Amino acid sequence: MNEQVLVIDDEKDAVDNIVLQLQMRDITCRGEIDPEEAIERFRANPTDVVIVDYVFPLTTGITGIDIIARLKEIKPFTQFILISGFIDKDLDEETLTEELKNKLKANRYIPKPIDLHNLVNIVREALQDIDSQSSSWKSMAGEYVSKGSVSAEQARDLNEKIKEHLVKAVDEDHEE
Amino acid sequence: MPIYYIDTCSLKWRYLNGSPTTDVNTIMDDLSNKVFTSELTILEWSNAVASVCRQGIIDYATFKNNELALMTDIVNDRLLITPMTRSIERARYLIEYVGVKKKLALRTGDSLHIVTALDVATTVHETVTFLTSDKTLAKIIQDVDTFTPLLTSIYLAP
Repeated sequence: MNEQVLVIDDEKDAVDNIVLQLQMRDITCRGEIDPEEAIERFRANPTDVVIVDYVFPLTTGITGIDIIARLKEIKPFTQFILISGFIDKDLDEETLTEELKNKLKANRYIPKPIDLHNLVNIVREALQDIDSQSSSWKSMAGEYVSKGSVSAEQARDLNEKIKEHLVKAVDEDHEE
Repeated sequence: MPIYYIDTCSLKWRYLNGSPTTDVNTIMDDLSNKVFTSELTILEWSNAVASVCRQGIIDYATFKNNELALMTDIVNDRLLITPMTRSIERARYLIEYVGVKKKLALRTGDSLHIVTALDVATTVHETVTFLTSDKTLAKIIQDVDTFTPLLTSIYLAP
């Protein structure tokens, strides 16, 4: 079954707590403490919303922003919530500087220490955004091509040498 | 405004060079036309390209570029995607009518394409021209009287 939310944080207690809070409110959720495993499982079973901590141990060589970038490659149409100590708890999203927003690359931000009530509301908003946008394939396609599009002519050139294989693959899928 | 529905076996000629390519491009690039397809088509195209990638014939970048080509057509309104709301339920009835009562060989995927095309026709209140490179499917659409006047078909020979 596809969970709605994925939580990625190297602190197991933090992950378990967030997952429990969301599940208690009928939001399906899974947690991961290893970023690479999280990314691999996301490939097979992507969620609509990902909550990710900014800081991971130096030994992992990865930050929350790196994780967001890699998950976006897999499923561009995902809502990302970054938990970050950069954000003062008195600073709301509207007053974040554009520079900080661009750097952090998430859709929404939650300051530490986490206010769980606030977190649940933010997750619900993110899920609503996905629901309203996913009714349109054009919106979703827009996310896919946001980093660059490919014209049909370019695709034909790309596929020229493998044309027979693709024809066969489509036709085989069509047969019963 | 002419309304078309294109299935995967015809849409592939948009991204491959072949006999039907000119016809497919003429129809899809004409902004006075509306060309619909099903969500199923997105899945079928991805699966076909994935199959070729799995065999090691193309790399992952080529897989993604093929996906992007389809998404680019969607973003540019060259292809309008119809959701498959309750399509499976309706396709089952179609299979019973066409496959059992009419004794015509209608495949699972094709039944879903037909019900989606019928959905488009009833929504836009116009006859939809079904583009396919499957001769059997084109004939089924022409021969089954209940599809008239909602659907007509054009066979694009590969």
